[in-house]
Amino acid sequence: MSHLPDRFPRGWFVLGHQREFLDNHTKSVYAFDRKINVSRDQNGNISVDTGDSFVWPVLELNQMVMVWHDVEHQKPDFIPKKIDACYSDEWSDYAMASFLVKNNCRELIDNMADKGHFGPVHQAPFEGFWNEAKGHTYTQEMTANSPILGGDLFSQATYEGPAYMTTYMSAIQDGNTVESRLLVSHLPLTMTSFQINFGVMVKKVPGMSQDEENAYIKGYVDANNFAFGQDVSIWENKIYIPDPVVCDGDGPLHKLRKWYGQFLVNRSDIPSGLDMEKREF
Amino acid sequence: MSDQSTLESLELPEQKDPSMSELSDGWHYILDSNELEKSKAVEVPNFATQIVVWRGLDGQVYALDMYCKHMGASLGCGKVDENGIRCPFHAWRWDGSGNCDDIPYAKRIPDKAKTRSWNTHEKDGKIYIWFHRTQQEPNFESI
Repeated sequence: MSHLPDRFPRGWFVLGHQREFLDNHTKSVYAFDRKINVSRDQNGNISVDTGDSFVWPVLELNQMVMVWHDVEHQKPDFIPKKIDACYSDEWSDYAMASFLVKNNCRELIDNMADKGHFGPVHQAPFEGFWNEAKGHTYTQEMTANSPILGGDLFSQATYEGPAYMTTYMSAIQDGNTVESRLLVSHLPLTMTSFQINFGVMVKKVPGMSQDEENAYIKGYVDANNFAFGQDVSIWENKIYIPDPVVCDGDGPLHKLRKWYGQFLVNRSDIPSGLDMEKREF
Repeated sequence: MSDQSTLESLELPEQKDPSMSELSDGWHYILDSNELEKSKAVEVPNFATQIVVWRGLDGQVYALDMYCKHMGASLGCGKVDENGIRCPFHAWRWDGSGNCDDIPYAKRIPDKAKTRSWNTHEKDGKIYIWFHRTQQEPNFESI
């Protein structure tokens, strides 16, 4: 059990889709080794009771209810960007899926820089692969021809803090450009388990019926669930290598882990030099 | 969802330090020869540390530490490729002496891409693996 972080990371964590939290109701969510009661009053305002004397900030943004976790009990130092598609009638709402992973939540982060696993694990070799680190954000861009998600695939995925990642994706399917947005968020339950809360929304295609749209979204959720399942089978049967030997074809794993490390220390202990200009790997 | 108390007590695996093992020095029976056909790999969790044992296309039996030295996946979930074993995570192939000999997406194999190998021996339809706390060379007369 060595090498485990000494805390849960600092940042915004998605508790669930806003439609799960009804007016005048309290819902319990297990996270951060505790039961969190999430209440919405008759005016629609959300609050959380974590059992702490410190009130954890909450946020309702991009269709999600989020909570700010910080062992230093300070105010948030960033807010995720508003995504216009989340408020547009031209887009569907997020369809959500969640699953449990029995490992520390840092395992999820490696994927951002882990260029080498796409072929063996997902049978989806990419063409271009870029990474950029800037303050509390880390971005991955990728171009690929995916047998699962479509040809001429472009995706741009950005973490804002350690646990809230959103992706814009476009791909050609049956001759049409399909635009989608993914949400990959997670909640640590314990130090050795976390729950992925995953969301998909698509830009509505003119002329597409509600049934066709639902079927399309379901297909996308299923494809992504399948891809996550491929990762989970690896994550649940591995050890953590704190200082991996990397090869010339690997992405910037060390750089990414240093960036993530800023959320696992007090603010006064965050080292400088975590930013990385956008570059291709 | 798993039971909460199960999650609270969940421990993550580590590659065990063999020098802390209570295993005696010498050859240890692992499995019968007919349980390991060509190109098959098995996890052996209860040796001095966790190991993966496989039979190459050459018919020889090989053994390495189970967790890949690159990013930690279990080679026990990997595939035998010729006489080596390929990791399921990034497809690095390890030979029976513990050297990585192929990375499909790299131009060059890093010098440090090495893992621990274990001496194996087959006799009378049984597969044995040598363990010695101070790395003494195997004694084949002792089987």
